[in-house]
Amino acid sequence: MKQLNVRSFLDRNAGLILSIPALFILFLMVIVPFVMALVTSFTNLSVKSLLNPNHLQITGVSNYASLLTDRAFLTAIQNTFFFTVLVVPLQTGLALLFAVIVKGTALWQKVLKTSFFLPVITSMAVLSVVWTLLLNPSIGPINTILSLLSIEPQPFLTHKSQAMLCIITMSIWQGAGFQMMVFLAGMQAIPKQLYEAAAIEHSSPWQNFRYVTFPLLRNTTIFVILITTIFAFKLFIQPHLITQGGPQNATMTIILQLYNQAFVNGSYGKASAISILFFVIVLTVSLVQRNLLPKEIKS
Amino acid sequence: MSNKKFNKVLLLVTAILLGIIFITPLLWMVYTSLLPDEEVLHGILSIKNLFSIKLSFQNYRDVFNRVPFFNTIGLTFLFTGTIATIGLFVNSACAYAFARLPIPGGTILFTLITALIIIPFETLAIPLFLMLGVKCNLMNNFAGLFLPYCAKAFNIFFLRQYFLLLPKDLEEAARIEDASWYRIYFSIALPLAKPAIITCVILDFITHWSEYLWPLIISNKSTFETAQIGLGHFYTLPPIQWGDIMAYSVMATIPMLLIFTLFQRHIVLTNATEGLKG
Repeated sequence: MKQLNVRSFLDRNAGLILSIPALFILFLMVIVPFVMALVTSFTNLSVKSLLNPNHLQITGVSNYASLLTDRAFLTAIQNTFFFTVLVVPLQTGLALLFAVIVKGTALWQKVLKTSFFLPVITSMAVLSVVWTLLLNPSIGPINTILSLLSIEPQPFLTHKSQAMLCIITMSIWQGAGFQMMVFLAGMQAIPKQLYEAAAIEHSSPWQNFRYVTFPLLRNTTIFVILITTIFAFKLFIQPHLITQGGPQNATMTIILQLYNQAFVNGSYGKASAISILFFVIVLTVSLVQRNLLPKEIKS
Repeated sequence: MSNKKFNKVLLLVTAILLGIIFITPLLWMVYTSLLPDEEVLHGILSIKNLFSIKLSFQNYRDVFNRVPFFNTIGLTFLFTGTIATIGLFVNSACAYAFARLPIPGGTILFTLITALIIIPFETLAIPLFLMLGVKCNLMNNFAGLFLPYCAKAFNIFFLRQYFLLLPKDLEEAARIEDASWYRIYFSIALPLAKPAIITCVILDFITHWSEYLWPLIISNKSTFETAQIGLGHFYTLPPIQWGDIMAYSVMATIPMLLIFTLFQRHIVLTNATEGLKG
């Protein structure tokens, strides 16, 4: 009899019991740290005040204020936006082009699709190291090829005017394959009849793309631009591994600043302020792009 | 007709050439990893004496001699495997509950979960470090490494969408047969949602295999690092030998490549993107 009661209790509350592990972990690993980041950003928490709590003070918005006058941080914001502004349109455009080319089941299309996608399943850390070798001024193959074409060897990553452009190039190359896959998935949803109708009207491949594929990929494109923008703002691995933000802060980024403030300078308060600013940027970008979506999809 | 066949072959050859150009950096990685040290210094000119050079796996052996690579790769597998396994059950159970069962405050709770998707991990990294690394003393500890990823709002959202699309008939029949909800979740819903679950597991595996920021933060010992962090240290470890570094890179890539090739056809990307539009 008692056993039956337990069973019926468990069964009546199955919804709560099945969802509680995930809810508990999300609360502990997302909500609590988020609130902590917010609170910490208004304090001077640092390595020093961790050891001696007497040093801990509430400093109001002073972390934010000092960040907005911090030369390195402003450069980081500028660099990150520069990276994003170049990477997002170029990568999305390239990915769309790739998707149009490899859409289909012919063998040559499968071959191309695989090679476009390979960099995506190679980790960014590995690719950063590989590109450091490729762009090595003395033993890197790129400079050797340039010299064979009688072009002067370039400093690439070691010069402040070229370093960020190198990172931009490799990032576009790395990520385009992923966006291509999303575009391909979007293209599958386009009704075949539209292309058949277009064929009756003798439309050219360009017209097919301009008047059928592209308009119907509108939502996919917005989605791709949204995630690419957010990924781009997170730029960290490449500068951390390849240039450490240099030369002369030319590749310093927001997340690299966050990391350095916390683990090089030991100022967790300031790092938390960057965390929150970063969240605000990401939130703004998503809200703006979400509003570009037609109403019926949002619901 | 033969003209058409010729065009087809021409197209295939062009595609292969373009594909090779596109993945030259990856091919260069593999090529360098097989070169003897002195040839690496010749860079691209080493191709000229390609036929006299003896390509070998010596660099791979060197990696194992110079760093505890087995350790590193084992930890990376354990890290990704644990997250994928725990996540599989935790997220799918929660998703199933929100798709089918009454939960007090369910609508509000679910809106909250979807809102969490927007919070980037970068925002949580510092407090998680203070919480797990400093307060709970989990630096260089396996629990500290995987705990932040055990539940994922996006996976819950994605799996719930999938559960909602499944027909209810089987579950209703099982209810009439007096099966408990746990039984139905485990023996009916989970197997039916296999495509979505495999997608989550593979995407988790790939994401966390390449994970960088958190493993970097939560470890400060060379005996406790994932392959990505290990590579970052190895590539500044004197003497700098590019052959060895590329061998390390290749070995850090192969597991991801294998998993992806094996399970690639199970990925349902369409649903994944439909999901986030909301």
